Amino acid sequence: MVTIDELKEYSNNLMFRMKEEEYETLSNEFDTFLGWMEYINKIEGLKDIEPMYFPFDLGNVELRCDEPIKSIESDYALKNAKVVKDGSVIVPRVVDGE
Amino acid sequence: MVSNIIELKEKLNNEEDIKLLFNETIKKAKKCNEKYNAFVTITDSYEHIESDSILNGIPYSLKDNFSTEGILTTGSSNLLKSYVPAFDSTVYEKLKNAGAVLIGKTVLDELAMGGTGTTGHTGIVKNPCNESRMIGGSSSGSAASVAAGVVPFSIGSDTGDSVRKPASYSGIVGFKPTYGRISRYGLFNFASSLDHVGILSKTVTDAAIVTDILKGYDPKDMTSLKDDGIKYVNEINNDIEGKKLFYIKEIIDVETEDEDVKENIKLFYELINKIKNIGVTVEEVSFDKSLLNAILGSYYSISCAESTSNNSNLTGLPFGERIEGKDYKEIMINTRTKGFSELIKRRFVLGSYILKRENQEKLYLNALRVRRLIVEKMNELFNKYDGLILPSTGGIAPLFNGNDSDKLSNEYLLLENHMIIGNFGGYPSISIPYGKVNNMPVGVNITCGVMKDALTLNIAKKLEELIEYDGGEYHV
Repeated sequence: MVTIDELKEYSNNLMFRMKEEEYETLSNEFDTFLGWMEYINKIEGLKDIEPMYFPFDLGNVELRCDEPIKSIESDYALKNAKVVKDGSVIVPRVVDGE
Repeated sequence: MVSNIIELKEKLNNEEDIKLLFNETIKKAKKCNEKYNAFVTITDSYEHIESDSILNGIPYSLKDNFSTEGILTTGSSNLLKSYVPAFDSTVYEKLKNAGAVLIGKTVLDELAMGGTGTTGHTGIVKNPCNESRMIGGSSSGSAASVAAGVVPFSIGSDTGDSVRKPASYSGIVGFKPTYGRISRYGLFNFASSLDHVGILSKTVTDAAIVTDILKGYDPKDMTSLKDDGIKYVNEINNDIEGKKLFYIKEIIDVETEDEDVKENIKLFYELINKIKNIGVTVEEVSFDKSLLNAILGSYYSISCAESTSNNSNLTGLPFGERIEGKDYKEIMINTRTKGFSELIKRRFVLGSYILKRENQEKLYLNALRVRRLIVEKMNELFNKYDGLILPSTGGIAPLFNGNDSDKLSNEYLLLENHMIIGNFGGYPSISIPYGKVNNMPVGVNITCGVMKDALTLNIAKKLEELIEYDGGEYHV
């Protein structure tokens, strides 16, 4: 059982707000989801199984040589930022004083 | 009809023809958008690189979660509604170099997290086969643009069934090759261990033609596979006599009052009889029902956990639809509050809960353990059989019914969600249309073992010939 207050704490940590009625929907979904997982947790011998992070062994994973490669220019990368100055994204000052 | 691509190609003799086709396609795309809302962006400039590829001059559409340098790419999210990428996805780059002509970016369920086509920031996508019905998702606009006859193929992404299900609901082909067969570089991550690039087309041949162009190792995607050296389009006409298929009893044995589901299952058994008549063995196998019943819970656990982490970069600061605030934290909160729809927020909260240290063992790792058990059992079956065959869905495309369809619910049929197995194991998997129920198209799904992409397309092509599906045309 997850309380509405706990759900609010999660959304707060995730840095967004939700409406009161949305928490009701979410709470119902948690009941459904946790019911599914309770069922899953009862599957015999599960704890001895190795978790599967990828569909199959990606045998060909290779790291590239440690050499500089061409990347995009910072001016270009910053084109999507709303407030930019001297190659940096500007946010409001968080420390008082000059 | 063997191939829309080849049919179009035969009419293209020079640059003038290609430009003419582009202009005609843009007109169709605009009509399609008025009727079905398939596109976020319809291209306003003609860009074509001459090539000797079979795709030279062929128009196509691209799901709006693939990066296209200089072209708006929104993920159908308000948070990214003015985002213009600074680089190309590998898929877009390969199609561009093959001479294919992009005509538009298609609507998806926001950030590809949904299966209804109702959560994109530009509105709901309607099904060209019946406008009162959903087309499914998340590759909703891609499916609509092909089903409506605007383009011969579209590119989508498939994390649970997001290419195959909308294809099934709209009477077209939806194919996702083996995990890593096509590079994911520049595709917005949803759940990285389940995400596949997929192709939507009218015919199996066209899906093979496009996969041949897109496949291959990409140094920019460490999960991409080395090319298998097979030209799939050359293998699709092989004889499949003597092949062995299976279906899973526990998935098809449905107790339901839904007449559409009953009719679909009847159609499926009729198809099985036809397949047996061409010398293909089809056997019923039994699969541990406790594992099958764990599919949806495991899928939500893995996908929500991965997506919460993957999308934490959407802050509105370096890019995105920034909403101002008194400090950077308030900017992020304002941006994410206004930028994400309710559904996305609910999925992120679930993912965050799953990833919390004290919950990981029971919620995340146990889901990954279930994934292994299912995949190991499937691999055993693929050692004995060439492929799995099942209806792609239980019912037909749902009617629009408010916002309920994407809420988690205990009322679900295994038959509606079994294609997730293809993502758990990274298997090549295809849905092809095989008939109509209640005057709506239904699809049949073929899934084969990992790396058996050519075989999957080959079986699908032979079934396509056997079925002779005539769903009618829904031209705009």
